[in-house]
Amino acid sequence: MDAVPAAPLGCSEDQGGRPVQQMARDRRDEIEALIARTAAQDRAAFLTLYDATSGKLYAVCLRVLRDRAEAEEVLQDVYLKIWRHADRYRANGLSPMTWLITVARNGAIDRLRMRRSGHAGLDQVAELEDASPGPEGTAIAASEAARISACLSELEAARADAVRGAYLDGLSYQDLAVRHDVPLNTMRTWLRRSLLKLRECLSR
Amino acid sequence: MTDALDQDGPDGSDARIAAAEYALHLMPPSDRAAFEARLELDGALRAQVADWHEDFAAMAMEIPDIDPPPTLRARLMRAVTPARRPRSLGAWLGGLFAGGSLVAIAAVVLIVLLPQAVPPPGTDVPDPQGVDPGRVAQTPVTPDPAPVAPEPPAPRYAASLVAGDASLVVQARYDPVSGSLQLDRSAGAAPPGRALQLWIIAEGATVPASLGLLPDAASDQITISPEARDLLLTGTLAISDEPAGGSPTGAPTGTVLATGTFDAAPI
Repeated sequence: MDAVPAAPLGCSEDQGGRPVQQMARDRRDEIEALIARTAAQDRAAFLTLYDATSGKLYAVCLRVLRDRAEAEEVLQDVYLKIWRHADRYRANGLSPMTWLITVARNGAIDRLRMRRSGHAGLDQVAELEDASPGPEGTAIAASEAARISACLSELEAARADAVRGAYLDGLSYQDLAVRHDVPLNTMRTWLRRSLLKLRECLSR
Repeated sequence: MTDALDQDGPDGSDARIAAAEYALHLMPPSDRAAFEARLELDGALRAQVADWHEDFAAMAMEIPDIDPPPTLRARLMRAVTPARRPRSLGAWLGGLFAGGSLVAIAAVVLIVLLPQAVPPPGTDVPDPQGVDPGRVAQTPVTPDPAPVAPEPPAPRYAASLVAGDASLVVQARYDPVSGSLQLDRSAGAAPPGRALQLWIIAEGATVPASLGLLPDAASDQITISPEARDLLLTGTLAISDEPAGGSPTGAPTGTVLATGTFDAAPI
């Protein structure tokens, strides 16, 4: 799966079969440059960033919310946050797609939890700003995707499924317990053990 | 239930789990707030959270992209194009977000722009021209309407009321001197057996006041009552879906379909 739909990004010189890693790095640099220009309130760059990333971010929101109208509303809110807070990207040290995906997922999960509780959500960008990582938080997306898949496949299928459900579907422990038909505490124990195994594998 | 998190294991496994649970949004709100307080102080913990974000995001990279509807792009473009108002769009958005109200956030889309200031979707966004002191200056006070028609012609103000999905689009042109409000509906209509009702929510007010039913004709004029005349320019217009004949209660009873405010500078 491509990190970014190729369309408006200047990838034409990449047609000659440059290594995938190099292309991933180029795309990452371009997204990063677009975020930087968006931070300077460059509207054209913002729209180019939208064109390059909205397919992924909409898919993330839709997967969590399973409702097109809600996903669209959240996505709109997400891009307005990106427009207003793009200057925070530099400080958080995440790779650009991770930052964008995390803003989108946080927005979608807030909406999901609000739908259930009727409580207002929080501005999740502030939280992202706090999540400054060390230099290790900056790997290349393509290899990351392969790595997490490989590590998830080392878990029992049901447990890998629970991790995916928590991340991609935004499920709570309670939801996961219901989905997998186990008591809540069992699910909590399961998932925590799985996360530790996952971290061990990812750190190898 | 925070058992595993309260005692840090010898290998730091509990911090790792907590960082993952935080990234996954698995913590209850109280634990989440406590964890955020820890994050403030603990750079190593922040790095762990970032690692999880990075690794988990790779899962999102594997799901197929889905293109959002093209109308969203157009709405975003309008939202980031400065309106010609004295206070900045950014400040306005900032206020809305600080309020945290979803309704307010939804209203961001409905930011009022003069149609001529909005390039059609797909064209290049023009350079910012929003700050033009000549345009931004407040209208000079117009003398009371005299029996003699005023000249030069009274200034008119524009507002757009657009539903989130663009299923209802109404342009409003308002002459505050005569109270004449021209309404041009380019999309949408009342459902069968229902009526669309126009409301004004005065600045700072929480209760809308009715301005009457939206005319059946796509283009028509209504006259604003003298009491409401001064509220329009600083308030928020809204259109709701109501029973035929209008809301029986004097307040909106149906869905609010679209909102908008008048641009600060006259046309």
